[in-house]
Amino acid sequence: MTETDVTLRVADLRVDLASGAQPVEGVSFDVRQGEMLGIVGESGSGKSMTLRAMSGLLPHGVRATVTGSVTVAGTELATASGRPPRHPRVGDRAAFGYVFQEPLAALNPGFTIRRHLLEALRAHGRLGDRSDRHDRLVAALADVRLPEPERVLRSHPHELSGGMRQRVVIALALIGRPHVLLADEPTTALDVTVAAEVLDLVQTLQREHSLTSVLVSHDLSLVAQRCDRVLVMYGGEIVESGAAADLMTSPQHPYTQRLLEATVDPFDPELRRTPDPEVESRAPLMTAGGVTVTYPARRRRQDPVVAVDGVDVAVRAGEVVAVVGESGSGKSSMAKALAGMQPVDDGDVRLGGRTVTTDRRDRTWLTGEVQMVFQDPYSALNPRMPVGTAIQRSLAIHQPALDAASRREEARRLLDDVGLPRSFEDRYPVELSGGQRQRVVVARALAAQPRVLLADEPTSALDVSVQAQLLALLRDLVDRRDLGMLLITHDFAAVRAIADRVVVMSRGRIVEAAPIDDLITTPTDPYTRRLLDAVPSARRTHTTQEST
Amino acid sequence: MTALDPTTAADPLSPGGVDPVLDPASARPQRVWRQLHRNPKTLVGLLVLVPTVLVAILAPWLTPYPYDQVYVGEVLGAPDADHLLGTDLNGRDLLSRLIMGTRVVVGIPLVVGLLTLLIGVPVGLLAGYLRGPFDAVAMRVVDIFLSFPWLLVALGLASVLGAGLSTVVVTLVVVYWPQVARVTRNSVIAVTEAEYVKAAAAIGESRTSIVLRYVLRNAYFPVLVLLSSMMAFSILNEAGISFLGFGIQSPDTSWGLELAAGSTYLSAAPHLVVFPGIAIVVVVLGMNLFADGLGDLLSRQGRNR
Repeated sequence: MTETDVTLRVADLRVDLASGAQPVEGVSFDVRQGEMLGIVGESGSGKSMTLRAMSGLLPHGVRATVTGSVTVAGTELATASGRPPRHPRVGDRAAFGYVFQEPLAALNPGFTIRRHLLEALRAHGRLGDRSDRHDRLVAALADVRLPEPERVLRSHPHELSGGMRQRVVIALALIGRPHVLLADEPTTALDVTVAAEVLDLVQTLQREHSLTSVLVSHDLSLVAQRCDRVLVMYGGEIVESGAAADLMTSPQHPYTQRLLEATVDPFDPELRRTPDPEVESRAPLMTAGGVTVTYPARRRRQDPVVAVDGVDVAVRAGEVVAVVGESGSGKSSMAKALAGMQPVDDGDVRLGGRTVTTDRRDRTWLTGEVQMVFQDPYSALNPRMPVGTAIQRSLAIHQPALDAASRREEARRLLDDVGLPRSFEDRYPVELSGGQRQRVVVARALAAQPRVLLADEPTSALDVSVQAQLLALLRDLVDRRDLGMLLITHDFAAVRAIADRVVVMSRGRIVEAAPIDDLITTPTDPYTRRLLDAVPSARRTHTTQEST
Repeated sequence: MTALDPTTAADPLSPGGVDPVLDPASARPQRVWRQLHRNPKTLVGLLVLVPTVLVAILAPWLTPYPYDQVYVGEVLGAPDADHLLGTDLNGRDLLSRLIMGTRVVVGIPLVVGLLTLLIGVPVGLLAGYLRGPFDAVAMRVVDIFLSFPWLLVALGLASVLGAGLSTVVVTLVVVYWPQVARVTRNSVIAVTEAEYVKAAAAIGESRTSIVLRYVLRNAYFPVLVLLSSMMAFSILNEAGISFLGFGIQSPDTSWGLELAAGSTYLSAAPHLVVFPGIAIVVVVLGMNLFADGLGDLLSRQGRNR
């Protein structure tokens, strides 16, 4: 690599927080002209901090000292103030363009897209001639493949879909003609198919503009699929770097190996699940027949919104049925209907010979049969209640015969069951990590001795390695306790890891229902195929050829 | 797999690890000290409040002279060795009167605070949790009460109850409870939206249990902060009401009453205004600092991440 090739050079970058913590401990890397570098790591690994520190965008209010040097296109960015300047420029171009995780947060809800673009032009001193300004705005949006750029210019952010917003953010980032495009989890907030499109776009733009870019993500398979080279960060340091393909096939550092182990590739043929004929012969535990959920129209003269439209699902004891779909597919409304938290307009949910209703008088019965695992373990636990007490509350309701001492003992046993030490009973949720909290949520659910477990995106708030452990725990509990489990998710990796059967939902209807192996290898519905195609995977290539 | 073991893996979201303040394992006195050290406002507040309360309790034994003993010939006497803070219009020892007045300064906030909580919190809690018609009615009543100026309330009550301690207490409760009700309601609404309240319903908790164990426990901090600053204000309000003659009457004493009595003789005997004034300012400042520090502390503890 010759010196002129290197567009971005970061040398010995360190961040020292006033609190004494060192989130970035001496990070050095080069990015060549036209290259896409991936940085992978879990939360707390320092990957986002690295990106922010080198571009002068440390969060407001963070008192930190940044040392080290950052060189863009041969020019070292000034670091006299202890941190790089905000919005550094090199020549007449911006050093960096930024694309962040949540496009809605990056846009001002009160401004039209036109105003955003004008602001960006002004910031970069490129307002230029009034006569062709409009054409340049249209061209900027057309560049990121936004349909109807004229209409988008007039729109406010809330009028655009998530994918369109992220395209606008990319267009804004490109206005300063940046040397390097920095993207921090740019697709985490988007649906899989949309995420794939946005990443495709970034790669196309990269070729067209010979752009250099850095992509930060927690998703190893996504980064490996998109990037030329990958850095793996752990504890504020780079533990491994190399070509994406090498990293995936022969990871050197133990952390990378673990990360790779924890990353489920839905298309891995070794994950084949052998169905248990005994389980398959059982009668369904919980049956939803023709369930329809509608929400009243927001405005008069609008039709009511049909979120779930005649859906049939059944789950047997000892099996995991996954309900898969993108946002707006109706899967969460379905979950609420199954848990008796949402009235059903048509059809019914039957469980143990009774019909599930939202009636308050049925709550004790229903919650003793169906328990939930929530999406966000950070908010599912009462911050003022020690976790042991949280579990004991559930015991007090559903096993009222127990006295205080045996409740306490039973709560401890449940902690054992979910792989947490008994000493955790006195801890408050704030003292636990996300994965540990989710285990507490599972233990609390088990305390009700339910027959059905309803898990709504149970892993989406967790780190990859923690996800794998939690899924293994759930599967183990299903097998050991003969629970029926419904897994509501958009994540095919989670589905692949533990589900027996899959139901694919789109716009409130079931488009495909099949055993997991069949669905992965021979999807029949075009929507299912699109979903599967969007899943980042190193092994998919041959499977899609089979299926399409 | 050791480093990924769920029991030993450090929480990646809080790089500092376990917060020593919230760690029940760390010893209690140590914890309190560390908290005060980090939060000097609370410490200064306590340095004012603790002696004030002690003085109030021990008042009869601390006064150098009986507080209502008249020393003829020493009317409006300037501070000297016999009467450290001088004497008042009737020749009574000012220091002794201020020491006895401490009982009002400590008692009023406690009684008013307690009664305000007993009325305001249940109303706010029910309004915020039930919403609907009860909320609408309760909040309109609150609006009506909020529109009463305290002066007018005191005037009206004084004509019914007569001037005295009970007028002061009732006035302040009437003026304060709607604020507590409103803050409670808003806080309850915010907490009720939280996922853990829905989760409580999902494990089968009854409504009473949800309200007491999940909602109230997480909703009370703003109320506590409001209450502590209201208690500080109640001292000022008591002084105001007594100043206007609707409150405590001589020969009983309160700081506000002394201030009022002295104001007529500002030029002849400035000590009658200066010393009660300083006492009021110091105690109110101390209470406000304490309230402020408490607010900081609670907002740190209420987080879930």
